Amino acid sequence: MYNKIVFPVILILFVLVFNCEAFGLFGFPAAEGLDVHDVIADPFAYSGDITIRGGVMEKMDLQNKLFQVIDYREYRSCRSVTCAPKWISVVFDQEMPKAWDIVEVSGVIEKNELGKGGFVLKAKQIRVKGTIKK
Amino acid sequence: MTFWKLIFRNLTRRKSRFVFTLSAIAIGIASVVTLLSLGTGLEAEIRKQADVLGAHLVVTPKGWCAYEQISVLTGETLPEALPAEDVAKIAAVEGIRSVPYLVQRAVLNNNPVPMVGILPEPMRKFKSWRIGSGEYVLDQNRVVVGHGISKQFELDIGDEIRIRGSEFTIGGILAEIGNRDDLAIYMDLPVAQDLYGSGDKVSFISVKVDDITKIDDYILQIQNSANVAVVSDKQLLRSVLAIVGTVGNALQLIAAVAVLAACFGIINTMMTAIYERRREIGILNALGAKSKTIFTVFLGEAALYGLLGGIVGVVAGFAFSYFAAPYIGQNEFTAFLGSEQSVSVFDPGITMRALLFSVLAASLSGIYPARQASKLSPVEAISYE
Repeated sequence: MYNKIVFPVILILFVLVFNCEAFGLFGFPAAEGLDVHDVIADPFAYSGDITIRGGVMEKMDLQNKLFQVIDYREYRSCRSVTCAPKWISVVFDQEMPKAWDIVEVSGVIEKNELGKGGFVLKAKQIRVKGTIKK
Repeated sequence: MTFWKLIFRNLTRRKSRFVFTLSAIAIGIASVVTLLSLGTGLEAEIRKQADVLGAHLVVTPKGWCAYEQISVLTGETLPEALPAEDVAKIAAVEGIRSVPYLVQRAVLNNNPVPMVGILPEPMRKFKSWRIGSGEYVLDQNRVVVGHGISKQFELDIGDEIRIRGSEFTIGGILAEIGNRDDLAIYMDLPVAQDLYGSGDKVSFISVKVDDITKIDDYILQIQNSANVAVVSDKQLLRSVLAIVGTVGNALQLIAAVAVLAACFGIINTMMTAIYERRREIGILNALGAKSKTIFTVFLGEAALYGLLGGIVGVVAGFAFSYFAAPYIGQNEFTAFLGSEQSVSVFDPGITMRALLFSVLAASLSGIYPARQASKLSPVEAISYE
C-alpha cells in the first residue's frame, strides 16, 4: 500500500523538478546576454554582434519595426516593464516579440537613423525565453 | 542478540520494502538539505558583498526600489541621484567619514566592467587600499584599475583604455584585495561625472562612524542635514535578504511534501511489519517481554530508518544542490551577480540538523505503530495464524 503513496510522490517530484519553469514555480524565465544598463553606459564601445537580454516594453512602434527592451534584472526585481527609466531601442524587420516577453536579442549597435540621435540595436535574431504576463 | 542487532535484522528482513522506505526518507531529507544548502550559500554570498562595502551606513536617495538596493551590494550601475550639495552636507557631519560613489560601466574587449568615480584620497583611506604597481594618481587622463581587471584583460601600467570615446592611461594597479574591488576601474569623480553626463551627482555615499554605539544618532544627524535615506549595513543586508528570500516557495513546498510522504511511508511500513510479525510479538510477550520493550523495538526501527535515510539523504542533497543550484537557485541577487548561486557543498551544521530532523521525524512517525504493537495482548498475538 505504501507504494501507492511513495511512487506517485516521487513521480510528482520529478515532474516538478524537470518542468519547474513550465509550472511557473521558480518564477522567472532565464536569459543570457549583456544587461541593458551595461550597454547603455557606453554603447558605441561594443563592436560587432552582441546579445542583450531584457524585457519588452509595452509601447511599440510597429510602423518602424521598433520596440524597447529594459534591463533583465530590473524586470526580474520589479516584475514590471512600465517603470524602468532606461531602455534600449531595438529595430527588427521580422516578427516582433510581444510586450512583457523576456528576450535575448542578437545584433549590432548602430546610430539611430530615425533622427532622434543616440543609438539602436539592429537585431538579427530574437529568442523569446518566456513571459510573466498572466 | 543485542537490541540494535534485532532492530536491524527486522528492518532488512524484507529487503525491497526496506530499500523503498529508505529511498522515500532519503528523498525527503535530500530536499531539506538542498533547501538549507542553497539558503546558507546565498546568505553567505550576500554577507560577503556587504563586507566589501566596508561601511557602517549607506546613504541613498529616498525611495530607491529593491533593484537599486541590491545594486548597492553587487556594484551594479546605479542612477546618479545625490547632488554635490548633499554630499558636502553629509561630509560635514561630525564623527563620520564619508565617501561618494558614482557607479557606472566601461567596456573592455566587448565586456562590461564596473567603472567607479571616486574621490581618490578619501577612498584610499576609507578602504585602506595599497598600490600594487605604478602610481595612485587619478586625474583627467589617468585611471587606476583593480588587480583582477589587470589580470583578466592583461592590462599594464601605461596601457591606454577607451571609455565613452575618451582615452585614459592606466597609471596604477591596486594591490590584490580579494573582493569585488579587484574588478573595477577607478576614475576621479569630477572626470567621471563629466564623462557620463551626471552633472554634480553621485550614486550613493558610504559612511564609517567613529563610535558604533551611537549609530542611531549619526543616522538622525545625516537625515537632518540632507533629504536622503540612510540605512545601516545590517538593515541593507536584512532588506536584501527579505527581497530575494533564501530559497523559493516552490522548493520549500517540495521539501515539505517529500518529508511528509516519507513519514507516511514509515508509518505504513511499520504497520505492515506489525501485521506480519503479530505471532512474533506474541511469543516475545509470552517470554516475558514488557509492552515497553516491544514499543522500544518498533520505535527503534523507525528511528533507524530515519538515521540511515538521513545519511543517504544528506549525501544526495549536497550532491543535488551542487549540480542543480544553477537551475533552481536563481533569484534577483544571483541574476545581479551574473554568477551561479553558491552553495554549501558540505556544511557540518546542515548535516547535523538534517540528521537530527530525519531521526526525529522518523521516530515521531514510528510512535503510532509502536504503540499499536505494544498494546497487542499475548493471547491475541500468539493465536494469529
